[in-house]
Amino acid sequence: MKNTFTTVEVASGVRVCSYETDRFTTGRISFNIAVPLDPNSVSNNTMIPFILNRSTKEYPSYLELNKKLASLYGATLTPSVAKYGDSLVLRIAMSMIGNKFSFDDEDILLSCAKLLFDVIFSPNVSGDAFLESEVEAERRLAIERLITEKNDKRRYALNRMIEEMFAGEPYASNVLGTEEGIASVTCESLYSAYKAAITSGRIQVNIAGSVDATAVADLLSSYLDSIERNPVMLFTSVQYEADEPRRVEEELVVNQGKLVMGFRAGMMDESDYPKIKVMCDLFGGGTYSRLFSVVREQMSLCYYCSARVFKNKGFIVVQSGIENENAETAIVEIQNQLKYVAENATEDDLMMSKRSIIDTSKTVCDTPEDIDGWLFSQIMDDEIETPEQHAERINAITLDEVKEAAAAVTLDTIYLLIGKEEVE
Amino acid sequence: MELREIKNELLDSSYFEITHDTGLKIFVYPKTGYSSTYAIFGTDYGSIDADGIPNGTAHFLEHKLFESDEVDAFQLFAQTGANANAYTTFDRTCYLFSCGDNFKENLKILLDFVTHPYFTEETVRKEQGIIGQEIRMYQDEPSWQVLFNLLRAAYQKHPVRIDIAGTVESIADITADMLYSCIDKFYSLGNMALACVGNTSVEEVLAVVDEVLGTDKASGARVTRHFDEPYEVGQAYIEEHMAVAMPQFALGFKEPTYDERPSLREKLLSTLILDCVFGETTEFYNKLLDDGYISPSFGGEYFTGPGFRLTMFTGDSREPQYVAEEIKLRIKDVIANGINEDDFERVRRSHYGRAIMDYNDIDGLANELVLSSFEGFKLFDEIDVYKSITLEEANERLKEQFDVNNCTLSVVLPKE
Repeated sequence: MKNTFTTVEVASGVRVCSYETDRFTTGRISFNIAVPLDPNSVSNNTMIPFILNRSTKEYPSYLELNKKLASLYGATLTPSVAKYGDSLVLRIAMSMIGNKFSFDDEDILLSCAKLLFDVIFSPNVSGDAFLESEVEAERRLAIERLITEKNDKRRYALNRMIEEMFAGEPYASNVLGTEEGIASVTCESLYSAYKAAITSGRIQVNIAGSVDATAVADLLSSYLDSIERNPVMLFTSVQYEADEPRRVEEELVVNQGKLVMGFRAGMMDESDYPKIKVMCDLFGGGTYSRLFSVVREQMSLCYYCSARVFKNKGFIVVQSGIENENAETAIVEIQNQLKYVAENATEDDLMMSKRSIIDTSKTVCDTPEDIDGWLFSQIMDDEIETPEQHAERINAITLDEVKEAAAAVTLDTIYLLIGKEEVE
Repeated sequence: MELREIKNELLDSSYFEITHDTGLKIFVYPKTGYSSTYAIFGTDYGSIDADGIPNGTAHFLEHKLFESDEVDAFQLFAQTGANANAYTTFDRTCYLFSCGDNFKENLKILLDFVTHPYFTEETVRKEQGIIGQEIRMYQDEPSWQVLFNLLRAAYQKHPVRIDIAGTVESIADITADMLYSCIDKFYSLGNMALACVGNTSVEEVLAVVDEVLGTDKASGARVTRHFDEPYEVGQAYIEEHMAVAMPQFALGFKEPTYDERPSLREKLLSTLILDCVFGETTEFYNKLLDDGYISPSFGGEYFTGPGFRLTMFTGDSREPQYVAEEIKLRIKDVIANGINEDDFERVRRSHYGRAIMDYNDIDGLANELVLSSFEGFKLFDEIDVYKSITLEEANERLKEQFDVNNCTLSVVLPKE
């Protein structure tokens, strides 16, 4: 086995990225399709991985499909959707055990790859439409996903900040769609969204573990033979710096308020990413970061206060759970700490962030899921960067670059969810 | 010192179990080809060990042990690049790190901090503010509330009914002296375990352990537990209204209380039964899903520890009461007619596969090794259990696992 990353283009806009190794007991294959994120199509698109995950022509019900998975030694299929800049990624990931553990010499990995491709390319449809009973059930589940997402207040507050910061842009859309949009999805509209995704979406299949990637790529090619590919261009707009900062406040009956601050990262292109990543880690990443050590540990203002960079849209978010009366102090202090990074960050601060990021990148190749995640995060990039290459770029960042990166960050939107007492 | 190699032919893998001279149990599982290592140092002490001390003390200690009078552990881990963390459950407290480089140095930091506590009234006060916010955050999480309401209602006396972090009021009573006396009682090396999995070796681990902990027999021994808990649930129903858009529920079937933890076989068998009777490959699950009563978030769990055994179903549903009644009907039916043989075989095969899959995950393996030390099983036993388990056993176990007259339904409902 080779223990290296390989990328093969199997059709126009379709590539197979793999990491073959025999040190795992399992294999992992994921199928990812990127399509434009658009408020008019998101409700149909968001349902695609879930409707596909219900059945195939050969296993025509959720029950039959689940029985098949159980017989493949508990292999799992996991559908999901994610936002990636101004694109929506539709994803189904599969995990399975390695061939040497089968009871009867079955080639489990190839059987699983075939099942995954059947799920994608051979759905249980009637003509040019999905089945009414399945679409009806999936519409309900899609609406329930949207509703239960609101139960998670941290997530809810983040979504609300993004809606405000990117108002009027495709990026403001919730990847789970809207209630009205989902209610109007039909068997035909869903099928035509599916057809559009597999013919025009950007497709990346990730493979990790003791899997024969060439055999999987060949199998995939045989499925693609009958499809006329016409890949769409995917484009993301990035705003370099903020206009006047905006502030939005809302009240909800909760114990703890939530503060979310959105900053423009000052990112011109991907080459700026390493320095922004190091800067953001130093600002609010690990326990040594400014936000953790000052806002949490020294000032005892909150349990969590952290920053993360959204590479594909060039912005940074700071999130904290906070008592109403502490919100103003926190808002001021968070900005002070950003200023600290721009003006006073030290070589020691820089070293801690670099070590932490580099150490984490060294652990990527120790699980098939992390390898899949690593590849997934680069679905829009022309070249796949290995963890070693990434570590080298991080290591080359200087203190001046970090300070410059921090100085280029501008506050765009403050969203505050205020905890309200219940009125009896 | 006593060293034993434990092998598994199927996995073509082995780990080492060591009883160190200090009394500490050490597990080392070298994994060829891995570039990272995960280490976890835990004590058999959790939130249920709350006799005579404020609720939430075990968790409070967890927050404080990475500090000393000069520098805190996180600052030192920041110098090495490791990722460190800690967590508290009902019955254990664990401190851990994962790293790519500098394993020995990291292990030294971990062992040193956990065995050298440092608290002052001032550092205790500061932490009360931070943990207070952690508690408030959980109070807004419906899935957390629905679980703890269930435990409070099902258990009348057992401390599993106490929130792991305690309350803002209970932690206000914690003092530095109390923390020191908990260390003396629960953090003796004989009550603890260390597991290191990944890119490491027995020699490397032992060199650091000998250096930091010495080789003298440590004082203190395993802490034992005893619980008085009536058989009956306290309340059959409990509800709370929160800012949720969709109701959530947790339904728990309570079993008799024994002081000791359940055996590995009992745990695996009970979980297997859940999937045979209620899992995704059953007509039962698919009918409730198709009829709109449950979503894929629905699932069962055998929730156990010292003195508590509860089979629990959780999920989102517009009609939790209906789902609870359907579960009870299904239980009555399967107790009367037995589990279908095909269902049993299919699920057994699937659980066997999932067990194999777990052997990739060095974090999971290290956590499981610490648990195996406290619960008294061997890591590879799981695979043998799946090979030898029978339908007859499952049908017998069913009858004690479910008493439909001894259960609690906990529901979180939207505010009106």
